[in-house]
Amino acid sequence: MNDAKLLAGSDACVFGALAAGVRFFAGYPITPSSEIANLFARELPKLGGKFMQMEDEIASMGAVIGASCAGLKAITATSGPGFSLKQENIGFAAEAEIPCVIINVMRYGPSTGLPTTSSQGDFMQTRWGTHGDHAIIVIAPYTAREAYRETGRAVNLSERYRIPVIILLDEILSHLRERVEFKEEDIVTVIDRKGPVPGTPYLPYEDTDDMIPPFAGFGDGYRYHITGLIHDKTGFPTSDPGTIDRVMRRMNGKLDYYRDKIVRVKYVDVDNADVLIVAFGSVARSAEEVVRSMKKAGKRVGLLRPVTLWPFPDREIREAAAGKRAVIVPEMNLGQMVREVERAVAGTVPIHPLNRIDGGLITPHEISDLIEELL
Amino acid sequence: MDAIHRKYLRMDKLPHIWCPGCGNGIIMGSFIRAIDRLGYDQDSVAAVSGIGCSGRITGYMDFNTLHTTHGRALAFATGLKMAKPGLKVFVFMGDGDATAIGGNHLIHACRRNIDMTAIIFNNHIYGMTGGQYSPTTPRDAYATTAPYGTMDPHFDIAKLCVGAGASYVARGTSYHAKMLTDLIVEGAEHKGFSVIEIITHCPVNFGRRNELETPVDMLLWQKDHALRMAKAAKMTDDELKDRFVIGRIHRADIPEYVEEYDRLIEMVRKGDTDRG
Amino acid sequence: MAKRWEVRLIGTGGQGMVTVSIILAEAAVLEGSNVVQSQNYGPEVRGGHSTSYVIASNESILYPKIDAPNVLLIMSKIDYRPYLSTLAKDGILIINNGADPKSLPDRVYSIPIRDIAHDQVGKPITANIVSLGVLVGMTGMISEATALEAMQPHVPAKALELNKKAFALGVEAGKAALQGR
Repeated sequence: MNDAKLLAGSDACVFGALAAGVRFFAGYPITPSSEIANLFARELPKLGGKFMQMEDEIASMGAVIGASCAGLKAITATSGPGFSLKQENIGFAAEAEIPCVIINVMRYGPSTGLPTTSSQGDFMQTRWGTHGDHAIIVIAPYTAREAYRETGRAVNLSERYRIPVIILLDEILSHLRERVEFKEEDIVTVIDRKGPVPGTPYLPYEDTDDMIPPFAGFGDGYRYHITGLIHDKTGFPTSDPGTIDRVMRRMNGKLDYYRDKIVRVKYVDVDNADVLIVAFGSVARSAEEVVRSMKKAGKRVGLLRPVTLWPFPDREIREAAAGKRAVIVPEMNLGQMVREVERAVAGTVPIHPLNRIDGGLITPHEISDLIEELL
Repeated sequence: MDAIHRKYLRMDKLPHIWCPGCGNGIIMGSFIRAIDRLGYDQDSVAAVSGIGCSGRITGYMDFNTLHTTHGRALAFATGLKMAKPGLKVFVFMGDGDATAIGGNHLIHACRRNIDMTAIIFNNHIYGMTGGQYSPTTPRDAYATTAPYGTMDPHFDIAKLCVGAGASYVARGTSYHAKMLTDLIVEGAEHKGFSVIEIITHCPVNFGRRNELETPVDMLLWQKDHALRMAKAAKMTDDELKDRFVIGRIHRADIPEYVEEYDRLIEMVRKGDTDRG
Repeated sequence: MAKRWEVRLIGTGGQGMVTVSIILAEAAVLEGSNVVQSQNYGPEVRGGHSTSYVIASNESILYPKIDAPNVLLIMSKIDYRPYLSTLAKDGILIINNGADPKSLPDRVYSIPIRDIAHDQVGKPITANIVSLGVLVGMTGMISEATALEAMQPHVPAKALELNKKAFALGVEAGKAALQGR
């Protein structure tokens, strides 16, 4: 992969997933994510993997979980309305701790919204889309190159921690094509889920020191039970309050325990900045242009770009915001991430949301105009 | 309890949650006897279920068991079978599970023809939620959501599946337990998607409200209303009213999906690009 | 690439203008430039309005949209005048018709792209490749040889010669239009 090539954001996700060992895709056509399904349909059989176009969004999420129960690395892709439909089964994957990756290409909503138009309106839904407390990881790349690497990382995080991982793209990033030249650091390694220790009794939801129960694939000789009911370490339903408390704290606690291994943040000129921008995805592309152009004009602006959106990098943002004159949070929604930034900064620095909801990408000008006003 | 129960049931999970007189235990008994006769290694059997009374069956049987979300058992099973074709996959659903919330998955599973067996517990009612009418509740029957009698026409599950392209369809009852074992064996051995609809009884939430006071009344109703195909063929429409056919209803030899996909992989890896 | 190119192509769905933007972008990659290609379109597969963008530069590119293009090509049968004010200071606007250059404002060039494809190539479907030739002929943003190399995978093998002809006619028409000024 040393040669430069033109690569679409959507295609980068597919190749990143395949490099991480994904061998099963199930999906349902939906704009603007269909290109992802198209490429999986072409590429998977070449690797002996399987692609399935299911009868609906719900079925595709179910099939992905089913394939993962058999030990295959599995993925799906969708967009707003389909993402909403998948939520119940995403909750199943969270509760039963079945590794899987969901690519959500954000389009303008709610409802049918604007199918071919970008948005960042799913920021909160990715975290709290399904009912009940649950562990989930959300990653938002901002270039095609990063989409490759981060989709690979998403697969690995899901396999390692038994947590569903969402790759959050938007229409702009999914559909744009750009020159990509992969480097050493982009190589996707393959990480397999931890299996049972042969010769010891298998407890499918064992409360191990690392908080991650070993996973046995169906058909591998360990007969056990997987359910979406709250279950004890044997995998069977329980209604004992003490057990419920313990298993739910373990499952949700994985996120806290492994937080620093999951959270990834990128900084551009943050240290000496007067103003800090916090932005992700396509909007971060505009924001980084602003950092560059204002630097040329002698102005000190920094960008903190969360690559991992959930767990939210609150500590990193609090540290980066300390002593700044202002924090700007541009988003293509009416203000979702800004709530988390406010929580992180806790009133120590003034925060300025910048929200655009006409379907257009926030431009560098819109951001720099706000900064000029504040400086 | 005899040896067959001890072999195939998770004895420590009993007693089950089903009401006294429920048909689900009879079906579970027929199923494990079928598996025993088929000689399948328990490690190679996957039992997948949805939500509702029927969904709990997977918890009691000693196989690879997957208790999924409401209506979606076939979707999960599809991924499971595609990922590991060596598994013998059985999918347990209720009538609401299979034909209401999961109706779309059922017809597409029939169309796709993946080699697995769907076992549908048709007790004509939503039992676990307290007796609401389902897509198979007979017209004019009473349910908690039909206090004046249902007005909805009902599905004939076997016909629906034949129409959707299933390659094997049979109907049994919880009364004809031995025959049910035969049908499950035949369905499992059939290459392709097989459906076994089972007319079963819910005395608590259906019978009690519909003049079938006891489990025995319900079983006798099944006995009196079930007909073999050969006998039904000789009867007039009028005579067939309110009665139903049991036994194998449909069998066809059509390409099985997993094998077709494996052929596709082989073809693509050779560099060919056109299935035709 | 000495200059930063910001090219905007407006077409009607099905004309193949998104493909033209991809060919331009791939050619820019072949020449070692940074490039970002993107597009907006409506829900229609055929007949809707599509806009594609190509930004090529030696510097890294992040913001993928173009506010003031230095090349704007309009293939659709729409009034070009509202777009004139969107052009960058040194920008040019190319429209697809045979209007008399004297009747047009300074920075607007009319080239009968569709007619060239229809009458001279003999295949109306090659109009997008004619437009690729026009863009290369007028801007020189990429070399003709690189453009042809990038074009090849995007046209059916049996129609390669025809498309080469379409491209050459486009280049010629583009150069002639510049000289006509």
